Amino acid sequence: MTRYIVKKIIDMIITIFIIVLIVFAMFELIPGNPARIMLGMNASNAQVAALEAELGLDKSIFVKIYTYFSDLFNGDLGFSFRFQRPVIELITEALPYTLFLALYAFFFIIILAIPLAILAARKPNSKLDNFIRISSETCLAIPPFFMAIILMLIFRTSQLALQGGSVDFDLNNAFQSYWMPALAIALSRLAMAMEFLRDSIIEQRESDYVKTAIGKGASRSRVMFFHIFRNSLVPFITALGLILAEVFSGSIIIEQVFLIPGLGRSLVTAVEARDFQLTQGIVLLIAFIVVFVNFCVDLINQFIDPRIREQNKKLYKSRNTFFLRMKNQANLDSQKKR
Amino acid sequence: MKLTTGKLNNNLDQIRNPKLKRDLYTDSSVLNSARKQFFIGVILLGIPLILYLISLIYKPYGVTEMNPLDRFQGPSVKHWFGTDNYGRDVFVRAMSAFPITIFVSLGINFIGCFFGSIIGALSGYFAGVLDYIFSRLTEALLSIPMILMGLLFVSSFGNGVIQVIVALGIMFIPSYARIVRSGFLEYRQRNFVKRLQLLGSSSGRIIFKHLFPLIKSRLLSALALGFSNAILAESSLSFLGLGVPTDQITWGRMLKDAQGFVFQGVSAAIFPGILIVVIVLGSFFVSHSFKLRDQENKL
Amino acid sequence: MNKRNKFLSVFLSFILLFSVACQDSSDSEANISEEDSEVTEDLSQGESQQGGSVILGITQEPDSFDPHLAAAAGTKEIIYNFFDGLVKLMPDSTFEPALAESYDVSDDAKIFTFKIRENVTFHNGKELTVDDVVYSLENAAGINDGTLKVPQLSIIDSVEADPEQNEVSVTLKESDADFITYMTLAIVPEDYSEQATEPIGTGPFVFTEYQPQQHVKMEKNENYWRERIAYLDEVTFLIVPSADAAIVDLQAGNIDIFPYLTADKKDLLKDQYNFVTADSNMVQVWGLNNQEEPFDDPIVRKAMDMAVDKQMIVEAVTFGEGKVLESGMAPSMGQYYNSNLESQYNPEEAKKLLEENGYSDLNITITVPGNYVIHVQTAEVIAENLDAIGVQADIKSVDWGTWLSDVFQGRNHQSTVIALTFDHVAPATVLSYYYSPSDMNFINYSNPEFDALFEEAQSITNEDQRVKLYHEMQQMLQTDAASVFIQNPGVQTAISKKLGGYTTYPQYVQDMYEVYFVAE
Repeated sequence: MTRYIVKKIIDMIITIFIIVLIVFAMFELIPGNPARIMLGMNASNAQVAALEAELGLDKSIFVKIYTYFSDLFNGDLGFSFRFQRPVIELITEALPYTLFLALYAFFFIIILAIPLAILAARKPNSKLDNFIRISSETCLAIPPFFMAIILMLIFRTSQLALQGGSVDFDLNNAFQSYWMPALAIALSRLAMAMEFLRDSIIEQRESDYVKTAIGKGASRSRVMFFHIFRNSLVPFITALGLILAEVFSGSIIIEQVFLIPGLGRSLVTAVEARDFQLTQGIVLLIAFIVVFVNFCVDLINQFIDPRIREQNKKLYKSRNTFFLRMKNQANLDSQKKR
Repeated sequence: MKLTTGKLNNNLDQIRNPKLKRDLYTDSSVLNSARKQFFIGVILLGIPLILYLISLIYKPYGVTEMNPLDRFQGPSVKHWFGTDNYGRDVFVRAMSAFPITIFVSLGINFIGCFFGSIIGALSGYFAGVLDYIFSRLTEALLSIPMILMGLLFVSSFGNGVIQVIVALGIMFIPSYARIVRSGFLEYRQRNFVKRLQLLGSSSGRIIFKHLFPLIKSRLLSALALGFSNAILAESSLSFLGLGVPTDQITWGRMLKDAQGFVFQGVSAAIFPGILIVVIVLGSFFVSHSFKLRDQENKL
Repeated sequence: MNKRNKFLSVFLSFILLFSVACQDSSDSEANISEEDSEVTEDLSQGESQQGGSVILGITQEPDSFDPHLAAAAGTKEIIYNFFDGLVKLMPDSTFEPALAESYDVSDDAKIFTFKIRENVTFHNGKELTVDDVVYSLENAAGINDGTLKVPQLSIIDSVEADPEQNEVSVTLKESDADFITYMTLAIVPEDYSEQATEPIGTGPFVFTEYQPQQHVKMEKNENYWRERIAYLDEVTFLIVPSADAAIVDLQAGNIDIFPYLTADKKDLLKDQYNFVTADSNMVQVWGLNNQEEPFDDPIVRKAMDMAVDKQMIVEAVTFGEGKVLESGMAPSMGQYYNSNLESQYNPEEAKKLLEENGYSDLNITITVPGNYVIHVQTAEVIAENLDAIGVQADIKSVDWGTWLSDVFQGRNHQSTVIALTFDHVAPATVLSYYYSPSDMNFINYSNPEFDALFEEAQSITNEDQRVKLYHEMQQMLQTDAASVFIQNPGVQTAISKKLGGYTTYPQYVQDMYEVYFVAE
């Protein structure tokens, strides 16, 4: 297990190294002079040149890359010349918004997907099932920003209106004020989670142990919740992990529409200002989150490896719980070591 | 916002145990359902096509013909889809955007699929170091935000349809590479491959003659999904102000242009939106049908 | 059965979407019918009232708060409230003494002497002295550190203080009649290095907080040197990503003042807001690169000027609120503005002109900054106009950063649409875009006669003579068809009906000092 984690961390470092190089190369190729952007049209070329020298933009790319990496190794993400502040500060200010938005959207996905999936799975290919599936797929087909516009039109309200005119982020009110952007993201990602859970519920229901349970005379709802639903959850959580990574990248555009000062808006501002240190910092953070989530998903994947599954299935026939299964996994691990 | 849905679905497929699908339907119904889904998909895809054919004959206004006094009209007999902020006819514009939208989407997927397949096939077949390098590269590419890639191509090489296609095409490479790679990893250990290798078949021959046909339907399903994702990605890029030029509009571009005026006249936004949904939904159905067929083949 | 259900549900989803579509289009029809009814223009000027806090929406992230370094118009409009200059620009383009009680100009317009006001304190409690004034001028002109921060001040030769008389005298290298317009320059305390992040001035408001992507906050200066301190207790400049995004918040009444409104949105907001057309000196121009084919030929440029239907641009893009321009100057420049220039619009003639001179299959490119929707839309209308005379125009949209470095600084374009804004209301600043040695001359216009007039106008002090020269220069720009001057875009400011006193200036600023809540 430790070896696996170490290997993954090395992979991650290499990936981050490649990302930094790609972003650097892109900034070299993309036209636009950061100093000129800061000073605007009414500045003379001499002023622009002076500012460039002051910001250290006139150095060669190799010097810049070397400096960036040596800073990075010291845990320094660099300095944003657009905001004249350390990148790490700007990121830690913006991250809570994006994190909250992503988790809130995630929460919506869960509370919508579970009942819908259970409903849909009751009778596969019934009218209800088809209706639920097609509506959720229609949502999947709507571009997220268009979804945001539709929501704004329907509810005739916006982010600031929801916050009651207050301009500060306040966690107490955040649940009330972020529901619309969160819903916009959630709706466009709902279909994947919903269908996945539906399929796995149907799959579980057809499995032997459930049939056994029904045969033993367990009540329908009891079987539904204690056997089928619970066992469908583990793969469902895996899928959610993947969706979470997407929700993160999906929030970039939603933040533009809903005035949310999160990572997405910072990224757009940074790119537009050609603020490469800030851009690097945000890209790296997003990359890290995506890689980290994938890493967790891999772990869970290993956990539900078919071999382990077979072992578990025997256990399911007795009264099983999620935790029992975890315990079983631990036993398996120790057996392997031996 | 990237080709993430495609990526996700592939990962989901890896998690899903394909064998269990058998329990969902009886064998005949799988086929039946696949055919049905394909049929519905084609009908949905046909709606814009029919409208397009109509517009070739019936074209009451010019594409850029402006009439500021007639702006923000709702749908009517005169303007089927209403008018936009210049009083331009949305129907005529949406139909002129149809071939470009399709071209952009196909182009993006062509680039993504072509290079993705090569990378995926090489890393899946040869595995080892090559696989490791390609995996890290695709992982890194997935983390590059679309706005940067869009900016790189649109700003450095001038904005045009081709630039948008190349920028997004590159973003689509990783997901295709993953699909092909996972397919190749699955088959390369099979006995028939080993037998072919022993018989002295060249790697290229095995890859193209024997392995690609096996993952064909998987790739087709991904293509159908990618088609819709490309439309969505292009519209997102337009939203960030980096899309196609104003004289070669796509539905995504129309949506973006109308976005500033939704409170005055919503039809300029809603109709391109609906067309996108119809096309995307259509290709979902087609994609599903390929996937079902693939599962049927496997069993 | 199965199939039918799927159709049914797909169908239902569309009905849903459609009903949204139809419902809203009927709303918009209602709006259009009401469009003729007069939107109230006069501001409620009820009794003023002390106190209250106001939220003002802005669309640009501020750059540096240091008044001598800040370059973006979006920053200057905020920090205007933190600082005072020696003189203050008034709404009618005149200058009133501010931190200078009075000033004297020598006959040759070379020496300016300012009497500095006493008992003025900075926000940090330090009293304003002549040394602060000298420091501010020298710093902006780059005399003390060699970095010129405000280009117009390069003309300053020396700045001297006379503590006895409490006077500061500025000696110029050569005479400049426009010099007083630059003296709105913010006066900052000497020996304070945090201006960029925590600005300190003498202005009516004190900086309190800046949260990137969110807001800039300020509260009133209790020790303001004028007799009356500001009415408002607190002002928040709220950063919104786009004007479109702000509409819903305006409708909900969450933003009190919003200065970037396009005229088409007025109908949506007329119940809660009054509107003011900012009297800006902005000039929207279709800049033709005079050194790029085919625009190196004056005849082609002339034909372009004839082909563009400026009135249509005003109708379609600025919804009738813009003012059509034939000159490189906006009417707010007062007497300097040449109002006698006539419209050249004549598409038939333009077509003939091009054909006669062998430009039958012309194909041109218009590069536009994609983030400025108004310029993209203007380019679209121009392309449509050109189509009518058989010229094919391609619109190339680039992002702002690319536009600045490639088009503006690199002059690598065939033509572009942009709005020129000016830091100072000096006519020389406005016309410097066409002065051939200038960095600003991004259209590569080069006419020795124009350059000579430009230099002459700067060196003389006779007002009538100067007006005559500037009129002549504007005429020359039209005759040469240096570019196509389109309009003075009527950017609207929405002001909540609860507020009064909002004042606009020919300079791009948000003056919160005059704003108050109307007593019930």
